Amino acid sequence: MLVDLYAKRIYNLAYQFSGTPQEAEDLVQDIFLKLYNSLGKYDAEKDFSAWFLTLARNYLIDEYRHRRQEKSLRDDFDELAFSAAATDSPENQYLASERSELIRQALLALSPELRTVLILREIEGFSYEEIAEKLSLPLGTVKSRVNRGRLQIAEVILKKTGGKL
Amino acid sequence: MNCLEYRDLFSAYLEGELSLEQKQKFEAHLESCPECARLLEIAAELNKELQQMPEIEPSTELMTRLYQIPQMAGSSQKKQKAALGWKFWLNPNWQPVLATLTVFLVVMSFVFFTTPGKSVQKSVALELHRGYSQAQKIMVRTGFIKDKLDGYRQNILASLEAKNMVKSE
Repeated sequence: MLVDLYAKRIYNLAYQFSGTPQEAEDLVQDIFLKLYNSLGKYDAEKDFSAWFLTLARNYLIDEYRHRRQEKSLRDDFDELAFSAAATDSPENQYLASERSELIRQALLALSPELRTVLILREIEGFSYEEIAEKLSLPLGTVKSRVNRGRLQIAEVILKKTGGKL
Repeated sequence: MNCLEYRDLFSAYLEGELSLEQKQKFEAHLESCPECARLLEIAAELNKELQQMPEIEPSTELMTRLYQIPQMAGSSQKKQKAALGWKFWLNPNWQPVLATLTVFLVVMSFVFFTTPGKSVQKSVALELHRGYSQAQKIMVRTGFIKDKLDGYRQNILASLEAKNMVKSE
């Protein structure tokens, strides 16, 4: 069944994009609903996994762009407070004892702007030009955000581990 | 350049976008700044680390909700079909008909609800009235001609009868 095959992959993708489990669950539901409604458009000669992942990724990017427009005037303070809470909760501190969980938490603690470009670049493997096109951002902004995202994660890891990754 | 400015160049350095001169300056700074060197080392490993990040299992509640989606999708498709009934008129095949109807309604509203339209309406009514009286006149004339023809017919018949009577005598 499609859910058994793809739920985990899509959930993780949505979690990386959204940064919270609850938001990720809502996004996964929306994506699967969209999938079932779009099955008629699927060309049987194409790779289904690639098609579905593109559909999911595009949905997440659209959601990100939509939310970016909605909260463009939001105070940065909210974001910083949220990030600190996400990183410092006892549960997250426990998970961060594992190296990969530490990186995940550092990734999730990034602002949505930095996290989205970093996921597209480092995990999804898109070029800077492709990311700029997908997110309707200037190329320079994308490059600068990727660098800032890398640097912020590196700073969190350096701070938490004393440089022992 | 200070540390922050060198850190802005991390990605460019890692992706080989610095000029030779910039690269030499950058590497010289790394030799004198262990913190920047360590940060760069971590940043360089990030790509691999992020790719290898283990996946999280979705909750059973989410899986249960996902299993129910095919039914939800089915019902929403039915709704879509029902909505299509409404959208029947939006079919492109109906566009000429709808365009004609729109033009007709615009002309009618112009005639009935505007001052110039009312004068047009008056002149149309006047013309209709004239036409009607013309038709009436023609009808009257036709009746007159018919009466005359009937008179001629009577005269001819009468003269024929009179001739026959003379012959038979």
